[in-house]
Amino acid sequence: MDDDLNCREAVRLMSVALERILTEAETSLLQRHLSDCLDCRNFEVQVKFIHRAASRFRSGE
Amino acid sequence: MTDARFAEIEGHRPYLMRYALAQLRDAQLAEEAVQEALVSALENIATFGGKSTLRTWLTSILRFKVIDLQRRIISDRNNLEFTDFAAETGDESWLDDLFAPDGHWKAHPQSWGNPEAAFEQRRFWEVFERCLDGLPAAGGRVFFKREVMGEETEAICKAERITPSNCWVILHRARLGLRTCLEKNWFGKEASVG
Repeated sequence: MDDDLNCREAVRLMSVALERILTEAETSLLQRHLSDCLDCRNFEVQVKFIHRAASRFRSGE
Repeated sequence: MTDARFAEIEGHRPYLMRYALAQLRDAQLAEEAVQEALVSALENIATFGGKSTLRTWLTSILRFKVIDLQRRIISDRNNLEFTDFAAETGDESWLDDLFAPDGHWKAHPQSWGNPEAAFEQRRFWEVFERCLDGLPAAGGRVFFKREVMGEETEAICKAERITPSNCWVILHRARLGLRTCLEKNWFGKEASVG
């Protein structure tokens, strides 16, 4: 059995990363997955965008 | 006070309502807080110097109203309606809507191009608010506190009286729900389903 992440696990880690700093092992697993997965790279951009949109929403500009 | 100014202030009511609801979890109390805040804002509009945005200024007034109300209700706090958390604890079946059994996306996330361009469009913010409204109540509240107000997760969990791990799941679900909603309603109307 390999230890590669699937998308569901990668997405979970990206959400975790917004709450705490990932361990080195987590980071390298995630990077490995992202380098192979366009879907999750798109997701990563989107979740960061939503984060910025939320701060904008606060100031109302 | 011009009518335009009045309309501008009124335009922030939905946002303020959301803020108050996140803090008070009671629609009637939230309504009351917002109403008092808007009256006070209109009375004191001359003191608004434009150093912050109008929304930030209004929120700071509302914050005091909310704190007042919280003090007033603290004794019968337990009467407040608490949860739709039970349904959300430990249950990850909602993820099955998004991911196939092998863990791959069911509907592939699309490229959103240059998403920042949406910030300039009023319609985008309407969609954004509608998507926030579409989240489960607890999800909307926790997301609002965490991502919009920037509160610490620990403080949010405490206020919501839930464990950090439940809190995290609610937040995770809210982020994913919001993403799906924005993709569907704004960015990727033609998103392919695979």
